[in-house]
Amino acid sequence: MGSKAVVAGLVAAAATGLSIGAAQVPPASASRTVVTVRLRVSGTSTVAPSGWWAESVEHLRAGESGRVSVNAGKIGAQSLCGGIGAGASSSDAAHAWTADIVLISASIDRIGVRVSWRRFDGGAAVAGDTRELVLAEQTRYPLDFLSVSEPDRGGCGAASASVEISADVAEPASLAETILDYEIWRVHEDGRGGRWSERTLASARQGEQAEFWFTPVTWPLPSGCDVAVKVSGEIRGRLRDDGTIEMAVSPSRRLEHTVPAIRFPDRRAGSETGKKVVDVGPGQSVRFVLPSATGSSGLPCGDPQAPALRVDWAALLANHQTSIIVRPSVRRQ
Amino acid sequence: MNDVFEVLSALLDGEDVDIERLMGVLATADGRDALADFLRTRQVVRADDADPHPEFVARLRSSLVPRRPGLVRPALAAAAVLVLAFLGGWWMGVHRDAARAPGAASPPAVTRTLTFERNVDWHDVP
Repeated sequence: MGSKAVVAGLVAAAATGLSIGAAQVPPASASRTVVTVRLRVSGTSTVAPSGWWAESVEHLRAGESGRVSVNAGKIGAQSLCGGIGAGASSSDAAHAWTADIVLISASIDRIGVRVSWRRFDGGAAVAGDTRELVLAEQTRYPLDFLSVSEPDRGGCGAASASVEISADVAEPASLAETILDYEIWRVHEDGRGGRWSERTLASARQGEQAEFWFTPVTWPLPSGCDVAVKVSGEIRGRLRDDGTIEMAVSPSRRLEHTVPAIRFPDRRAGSETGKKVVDVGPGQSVRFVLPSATGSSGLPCGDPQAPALRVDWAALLANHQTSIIVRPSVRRQ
Repeated sequence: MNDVFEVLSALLDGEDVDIERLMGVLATADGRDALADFLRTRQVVRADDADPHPEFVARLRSSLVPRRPGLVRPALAAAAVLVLAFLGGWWMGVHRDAARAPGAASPPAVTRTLTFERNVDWHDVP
């Protein structure tokens, strides 16, 4: 657990005007949340399986700071072979990465960090910067990439190394095995009484991501093209001690313009997504209303030589509304 | 064969039968076999006790709930109407909703509504 108070860091962030969305001030409910920050070096090799080589871990609460370090290659050597590890002094390795982390905020799927990272080659600082990030959980964010020319790859064939940072909420043991079930509805209404509803179910372990998909809502156009609204998404949920469920809901919508008459249809599509975090009580359902469609797409319908038919999505789907309704529950035996 | 059965059945029931027809039936092997089968069945039926065994009657009585005479049939009829009404409604509901959304009739009542705002918390995917 990082123990250093970082009041100075927070003050500095405020003074420089840096912001991380709406999550700059740690919410009171999040102050007990522990976040696991990982710095990982992964590599590719021409003779060995590629994958991650070393990882350095720090556990932090909002407002705390810590340092994570990884390295690769022996001092004095050009290659990345040998000496791979975590936490060693930068002067002992051919390449070493160190990141000083300040955990600014911690809520589900939105973890605000300030990262000051440096790369040392042979003990000398050669690269690095300071950046503020909002990290989604279970997602790695690249900080640095190192490529090794062929003559310098050494016996292990290491051709490149990448360094990534990630942050995940650490689950308390009492809740770690919780299974969350999600009843999810897509409701599409055309504003004239037409309604297309579909229900699906998804589940995931505590803090992990569940995915969902719905069948497209499709309309044929007189031109021979079809248009379709495709909705999918992800939910990450976390049961709290008080019985409420914190959810990060990320629907995605794809407006698709296709020529269905040919075997492998050409298609034009625009994809959009968003994320909302919400607390839900037992048995409660939340509706997420997606914005009105915008943009346009052009496609020759039927005859490839014909001029493209341009679909104005806002006009075509005027008064249409797409909603997602989510009802989470805790699975009981 | 029906003619054989008619003559033999009438004979065993004590009715008058055409003797020439009966002689003709008994002259055939099928006719004699049919007569033997009729007689065997009648003997088996006579040997069977028509009344239920006393132990069965006792068990049946002990399992019955006493009820007031005169209310049994109306109560059963009312229950049947309710069950039919329930099943009918359920059946119609299942078939009406199945076309819209398998597994559930309609979305649950929502307790909160949140709206995504373009360029605030809703973005194009690069």
